[in-house]
Amino acid sequence: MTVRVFTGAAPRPDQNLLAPELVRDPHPYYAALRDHEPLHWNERHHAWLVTRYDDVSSLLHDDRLSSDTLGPYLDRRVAEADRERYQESFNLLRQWMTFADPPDHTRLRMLVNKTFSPRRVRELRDHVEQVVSLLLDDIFAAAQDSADGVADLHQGLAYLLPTMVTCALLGTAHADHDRLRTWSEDIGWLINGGLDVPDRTERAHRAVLDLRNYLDPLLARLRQEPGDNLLSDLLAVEAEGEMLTHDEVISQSIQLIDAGFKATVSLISTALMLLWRHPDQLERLRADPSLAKSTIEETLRFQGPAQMVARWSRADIPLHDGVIPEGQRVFLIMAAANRDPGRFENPDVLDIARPATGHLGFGQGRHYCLGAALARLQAEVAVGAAVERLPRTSRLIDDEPNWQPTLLLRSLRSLPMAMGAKR
Amino acid sequence: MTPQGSQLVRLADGGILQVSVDRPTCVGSGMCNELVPALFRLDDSGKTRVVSPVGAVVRGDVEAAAEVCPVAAIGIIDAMDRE
Repeated sequence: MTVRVFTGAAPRPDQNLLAPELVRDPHPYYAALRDHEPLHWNERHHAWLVTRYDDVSSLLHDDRLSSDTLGPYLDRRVAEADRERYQESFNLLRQWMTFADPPDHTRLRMLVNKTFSPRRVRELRDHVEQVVSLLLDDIFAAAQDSADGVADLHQGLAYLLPTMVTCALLGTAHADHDRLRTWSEDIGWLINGGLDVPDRTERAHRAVLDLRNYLDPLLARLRQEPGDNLLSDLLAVEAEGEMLTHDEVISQSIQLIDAGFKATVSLISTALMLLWRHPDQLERLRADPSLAKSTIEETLRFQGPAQMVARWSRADIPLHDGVIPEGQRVFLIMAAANRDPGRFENPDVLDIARPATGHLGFGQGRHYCLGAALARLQAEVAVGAAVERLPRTSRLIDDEPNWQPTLLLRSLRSLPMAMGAKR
Repeated sequence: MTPQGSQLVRLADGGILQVSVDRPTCVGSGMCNELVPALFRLDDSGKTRVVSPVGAVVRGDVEAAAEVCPVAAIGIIDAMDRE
């Protein structure tokens, strides 16, 4: 059994999880939760917080927790007057694999899983390497053109790479990426917990309907002339019979756009930010480029995009000295579990050569990240190439990382870097 | 010699496959059990174990399971080819 050293004060039940000090660094708070109250009720967010590795891991496999958190949200948190209006968009969102339970989840995941299998993804490596190389050329050019020699790696690399890869994979036009990004961000304020955005439900609602209206003609065209892309594959499945309804095709398409436009973006820019803030680790990677792979795994453990997942209890679930009652919200905080000293040695130390297995950065169980292999590939190639090509004199401009205030997804908003002399 | 944790599996076509699951890598997505429940079992730890299947198993199903595994944890070796 692990000896737990109690640190800091006991967690307050009214703690705002998006308070500025927690957006800056949530880990002291997570440590207090792990140490004092591994099962903790947060009154402000109406949620049970679970933070220890063993608990989070086992509950990720537990079918007493449902992933349909949007149904309860619509029923309980949305004003009755708005409920009927939002029904249409929520029905599309609730069919995402993210929010689906078996048997729907199993059926949907089986259909799209193949496209994202590690073997299929490996075939994309050449393409990803080429895109990264071109984007880095553009970043150097932008820095040289700017008065202060600065370019934003978040926009120029971390955002554009997954965006281009997602558009190519799905079959959407890359020229549309600005629109897709805006819609994806508007959905994100709702599903990723942008709690300080007052009209987040309305914005997500409109974005979902706009995306459907965007996809409808595109899908109609692909039905006539299928291409070598995932949307055409989904339509082929739809055409085969009752496996996939039209709404499900729309819903999965929106989910894949959303995932491709946000989580991988965050993984790439967070990895770069961490390296440039830990010069000893950056030097290690420069000296041994084969550490790029484990650098990404360590980023996922140390500061992964997916902070937590929300679940809804379908039964009373005893845990430690308490019980999660049926019909309540549960946050499984992977970011806290990934720093549990009971599972990881020196968990608060960034060590890019750390053995990779076991972190919960992509979750576990049936909702294990569908795009994990694709995200890993893009991040490994992008970070490896950036470290190789960015001049040694390059440095971050911001004193502090510029975190976006969302609960479930931890992401930077920008990563401006002064390039110094071009190598 | 079969490595620990692997299983020799008689196929419907008469051949034999040696199937393994890399346990530290397995994330318990459950895709393999959905496809070949006779061969892949999720245990209490939430990870998959290869079990001795009752009856013959179709080669294509095992290959499909290895293909869809999100972390490529399933290994297949042709132990005896009857074709």
